[in-house]
Amino acid sequence: MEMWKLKNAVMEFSFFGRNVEEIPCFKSSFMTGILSGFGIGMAHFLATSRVKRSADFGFYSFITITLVYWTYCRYKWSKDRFIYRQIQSGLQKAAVLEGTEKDPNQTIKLDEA
Amino acid sequence: MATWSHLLFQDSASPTMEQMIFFHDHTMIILTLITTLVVYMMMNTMYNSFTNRVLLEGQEIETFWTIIPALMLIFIALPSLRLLYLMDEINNPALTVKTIGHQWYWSYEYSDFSSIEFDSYMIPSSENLPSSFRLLDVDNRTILPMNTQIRMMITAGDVIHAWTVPALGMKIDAIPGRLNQSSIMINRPGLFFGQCSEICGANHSFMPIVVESVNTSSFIKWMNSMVE
Repeated sequence: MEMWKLKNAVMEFSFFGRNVEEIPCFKSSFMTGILSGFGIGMAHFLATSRVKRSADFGFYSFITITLVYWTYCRYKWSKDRFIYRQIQSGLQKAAVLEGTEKDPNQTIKLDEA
Repeated sequence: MATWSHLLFQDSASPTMEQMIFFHDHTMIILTLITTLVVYMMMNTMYNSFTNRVLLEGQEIETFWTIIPALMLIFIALPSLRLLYLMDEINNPALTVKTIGHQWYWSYEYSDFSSIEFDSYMIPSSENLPSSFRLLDVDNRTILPMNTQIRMMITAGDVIHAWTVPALGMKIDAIPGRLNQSSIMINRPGLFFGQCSEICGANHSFMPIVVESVNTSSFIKWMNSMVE
């Protein structure tokens, strides 16, 4: 895993060769996992004063919540992306057909214009 | 194309490769989290002083560590199978290109509209321009139109070769006496490089592939110029 590197004066973190900013759902999954894990671990410690067990709870919660949220977020993103691609394809077709008889947006018949 | 420190995927040039990169991201995140979990457990085990001289079994934990990995594998398998079947979807190619592997060059045939055939040899290092890519540039590039479904039929004339273009997510064996078929759609213009991927003799490393993706009008002009 490459570490931090400077590119065009902006810090870029690579995860197995990919810039993490380009991976959909990466930031939200890890932020949710880290904060939830920390919160659960801290809450457990405050309740029980057991350091090691609280750390274990916190860590395992981080792993579980990150995995679950990542799966949910990627599935939702994949469904949304499919709809975006359909819209994009429709807009491209409408642009190509604009002004012709098959124009999906035309309101006036060409021979009446 | 790949440069000197490029270890992983090149930027995708087709929807298939794009989906493969997304699947790779998904799988690597799961693998990284599992590895982190296992390392944490190993550290915990090494640095504690718990002992149990009579530990024989633990039914609950054994059930747990059987079911959880099975679920993880399902989470990896579902997107994988989805992508696998997506790659085999029926589409209507507008163009068919035949690729024949030889020792040690590729030949291409565009037979749909008019018979265009040419060979594609690597440019030797001695004849390279300072701006050329060593061991990757060819004399005749494979010109393909972008945003068009293309059927590739690949075979070989002597020994087994493999036609590879990483940016398009393609690696297809070229086997003598057999026609392998694949479908591609290139969604951006540019030059995409690949190399023969099946050992085929002395110059196996010196028969590259260069796909040049152009817009449809440029492709039609090129075809007309090849026919004349």
